[in-house]
Amino acid sequence: MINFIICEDDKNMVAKVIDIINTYMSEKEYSFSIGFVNDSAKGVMDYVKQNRDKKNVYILDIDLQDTQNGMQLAKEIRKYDYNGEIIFLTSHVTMVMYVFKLRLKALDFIDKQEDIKQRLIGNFEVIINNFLNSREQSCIIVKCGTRVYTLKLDEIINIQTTSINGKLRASTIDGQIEFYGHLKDIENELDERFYRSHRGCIINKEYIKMINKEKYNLYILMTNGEKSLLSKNYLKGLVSKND
Amino acid sequence: MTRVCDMMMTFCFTYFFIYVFKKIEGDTNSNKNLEIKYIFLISMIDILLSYMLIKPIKLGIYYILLEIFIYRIYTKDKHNFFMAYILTFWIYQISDIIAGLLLYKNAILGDFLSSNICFNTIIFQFLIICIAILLANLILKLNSINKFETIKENKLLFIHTNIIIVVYMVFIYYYNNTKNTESIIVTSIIVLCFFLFISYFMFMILNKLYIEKNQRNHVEMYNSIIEESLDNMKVYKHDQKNILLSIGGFLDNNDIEGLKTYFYKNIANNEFIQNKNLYGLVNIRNSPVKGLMYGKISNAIFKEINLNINITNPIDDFKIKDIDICKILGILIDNAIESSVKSYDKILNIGISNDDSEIYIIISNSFKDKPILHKIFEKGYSTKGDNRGLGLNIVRELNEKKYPNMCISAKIKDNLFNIEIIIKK
Repeated sequence: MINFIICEDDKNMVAKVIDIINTYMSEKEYSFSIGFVNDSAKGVMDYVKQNRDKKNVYILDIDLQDTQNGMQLAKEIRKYDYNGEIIFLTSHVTMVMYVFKLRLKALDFIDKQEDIKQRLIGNFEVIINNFLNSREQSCIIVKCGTRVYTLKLDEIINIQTTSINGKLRASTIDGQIEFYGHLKDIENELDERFYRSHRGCIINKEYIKMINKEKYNLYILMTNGEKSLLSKNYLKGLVSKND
Repeated sequence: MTRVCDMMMTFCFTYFFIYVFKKIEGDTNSNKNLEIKYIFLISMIDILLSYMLIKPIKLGIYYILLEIFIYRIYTKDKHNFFMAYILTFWIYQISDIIAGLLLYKNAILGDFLSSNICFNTIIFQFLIICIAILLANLILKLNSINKFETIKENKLLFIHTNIIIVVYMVFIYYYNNTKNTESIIVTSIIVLCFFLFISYFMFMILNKLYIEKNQRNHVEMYNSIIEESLDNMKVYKHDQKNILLSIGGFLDNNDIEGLKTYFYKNIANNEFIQNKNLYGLVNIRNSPVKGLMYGKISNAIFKEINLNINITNPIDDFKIKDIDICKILGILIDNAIESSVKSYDKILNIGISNDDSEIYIIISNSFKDKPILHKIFEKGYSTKGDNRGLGLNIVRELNEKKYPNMCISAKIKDNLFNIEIIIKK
């Protein structure tokens, strides 16, 4: 069940968006609700705080008349809702906001002067696909300042320490993410696929390609070609488990 | 009885010496357990030594041991260690003198105290500690410590600190036997001032040397930014000249229609003026970074890249040394430009956002050959061919070695290669 929240000061645009939502969702027979509609950012945060458990889709106008612009609102929303999808509506001039797409985990930036119906429908399809498939996927949430990364456990290849105490680096299939934390805290949040192969490294056993057991050159070769740290103490546990 | 008294006083003195040191250094974290253990250890050693050695030598060893122990306990930022230690040392010597002045100048009090030795030590030490804490607070208020940029640990400073301690102790030894309190106090003040002057002088010299070295680096960096801008200017002028000449050609032939087509097709409609959104460049208040950004941006414009820049709010201080942020941004943007030029979409997005808690920088570019993410930071790896691949390694080294408050993450998403830099304030 998908919950829509719309924040847009142009009444025509609001009506148009609601119309598109209604048509598409009814056509595909997905259950949905329109949770909150307003022409300014007021009240959005209160609504978000009370409705975090729902799968929310936010359609926000970047240049609201209010003091808070769309990007700041999105940052606030992200503090409470990691999984919500954010779609920005923007006029052509402010399209530059999309450089921050990654940070805000925004799904899309739609130019109001374009054909919004096509774009919105495209986004809805992506959302629904993800929603149906992702209920089973587990992930861990790591932070670096106010930037929050959601790493799917399936995609993590290894997590290593860096030479700075308290900073870790996770290698995933499409990125290298640095964040603050300690391996012993993260260990609790991972599942049995993960094994501590070294004082400074946790690996995902599903990505092991080869274990190099040479005495002074211990390492684990991962499927993406990366070498993970391995120490003698932890080698035994790994081999016996692998059998 | 007096020994017990002495021991307790040494314990207190050591504790408060460390307390004042911490205040001056500004170090709030400490390993209390380790601290107490060390204090106990030093006090014990001090008592033992006082049975064996004469006072000044014992004192000298005590201060040097204290120096070593404090050095081991406080690992926060060793840059200011020697300065803080010398300052603490001086504060205590000055308090010693002041306490002596206060207590012994007054004849009645002086007699009373000389008779009761235990009382004597307690009150004397107590007074020293109080005055020391007052002085420390005073100095912090004056804030003159921050005048010195962080000077790296220097062998010279180490030698200087220890020589001062030793010499001062020797001096006390020679004057220890004089009964005349007046002359002791006057000469102590003179010698103290002399040594203070030497310490100050030493710090000034080291500080100047350090700043000069830094300035040289800055100047080199600015020069390279200016050279790059000049190169870009040359190309730009050349292009403009060509365009004007061709317009002249049309005018000579009186070919207005031809001129119109040429103009609208090649100049006004020119993609490389339109596909750029440059918002907020004026928000970079930091001069070297501003120069660098303008240089790189004009470079990107010439290469006809689809550029989107968004700098959301004013930023002045990147919390990192100017030279380092310029290096990092320079390398990352150069990489992004080179990669995006080869790609089909030629996209380059740069965003900088700045709030109370952190600075967020993102550089995204399209690419042709997908880079292998875990290797890109390694020395020698590059999609650009042989003999390249040093830049990102430099960036990672800077990140790892110098700046614990900075995180650099790389991710491939939406068919763009993204690098995010988050600097915590």
